[in-house]
Amino acid sequence: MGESMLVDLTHIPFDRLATVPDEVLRESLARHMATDPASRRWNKSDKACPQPDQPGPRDR
Amino acid sequence: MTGGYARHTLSPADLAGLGAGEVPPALADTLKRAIASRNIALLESVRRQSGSAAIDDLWRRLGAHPGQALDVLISPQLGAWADDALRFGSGDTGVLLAALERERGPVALDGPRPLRLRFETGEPLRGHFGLAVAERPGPADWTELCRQAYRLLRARHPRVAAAMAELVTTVVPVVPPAPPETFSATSGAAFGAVALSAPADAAELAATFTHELQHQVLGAADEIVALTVPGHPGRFAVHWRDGERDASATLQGIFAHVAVVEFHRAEWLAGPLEERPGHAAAFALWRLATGRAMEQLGRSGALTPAGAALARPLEARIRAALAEPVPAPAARAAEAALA
Repeated sequence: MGESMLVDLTHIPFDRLATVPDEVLRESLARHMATDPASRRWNKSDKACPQPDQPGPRDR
Repeated sequence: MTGGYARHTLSPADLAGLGAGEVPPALADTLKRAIASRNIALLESVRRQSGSAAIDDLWRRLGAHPGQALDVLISPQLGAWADDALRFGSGDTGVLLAALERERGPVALDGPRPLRLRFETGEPLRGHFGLAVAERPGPADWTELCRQAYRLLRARHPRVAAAMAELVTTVVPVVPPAPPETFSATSGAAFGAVALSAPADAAELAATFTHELQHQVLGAADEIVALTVPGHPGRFAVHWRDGERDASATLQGIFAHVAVVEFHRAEWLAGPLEERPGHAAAFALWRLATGRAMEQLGRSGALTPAGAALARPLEARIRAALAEPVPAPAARAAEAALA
């Protein structure tokens, strides 16, 4: 479902990787490299959970 | 096939399974192999740009030990190093090789399906996360905290524990940027690694692992197929962030928080008695916050067909949570927090 551009390189022998065309690598990485690295970082929530009965779990 | 090369795919059943919170071993393997391909592409691209003999040598070594290749290829050290090297041209192959050497000998935490974790304070992950690495607590204390958290997950959150054993490999202990608030982070490039500040206790750590695991899972799925429309202009107000988020970040937040909602539900119903009111409050809050975020995202048109296939079971989990009666104080606190 959906168009995947990521080529399965895991079945290519390591000594044949050099023969993979540049274009295949570029296509495989197109989605990854088009995304700002900061958009692939996920940090803890800004906000904690209100706690009606302390102590409780610290939420995220 | 394109030009004779097969591509990674996620079937509708895979996407529905992910949305339902299921990562059986076969699907975990699919995600790991996609990350391996991405990391091969990153590293081979670096090799072609730099002419690095060290990467040539690494390919030779992996070829000589194919049984170990997948673990090396999906290591967060390799992914983080190659991603940073390709984007910023900052790759010192000595750093990469030293990190891979350190990867031997992870700590195995107990169970019939042991969790194998490494505690990593060196490069390239230190620089990749860009956070001050914490020297305390030390590895022994971290090991014990993780052991207790994993036991809790195995006891009351077996699906999370099973997926964690498959997909989380590395803890990067960090100093929280805004103490006394604890901190955790995940990077799509450093698949398998979670940056963590010292938690208050094992229960908090279990909740944190539950949350960060979801980012690993969805980040890997998103490497295979777009779940949100690239460049969609929609911005969404979500309770867990002060500012508005784009569609991709919103879906990530929803995906993580649905698991957090289910974590709190189970702890409220079956956890230690003295902690149940707090878990009830957290369950009430996050189900409401997650439901509101899902409602916005669902009607925005920002989900691709693949994203919609994943979102349908996700919405069903939120609806089930919202239908559950909760103690009145918890419900009132949640409504007030989101007013």
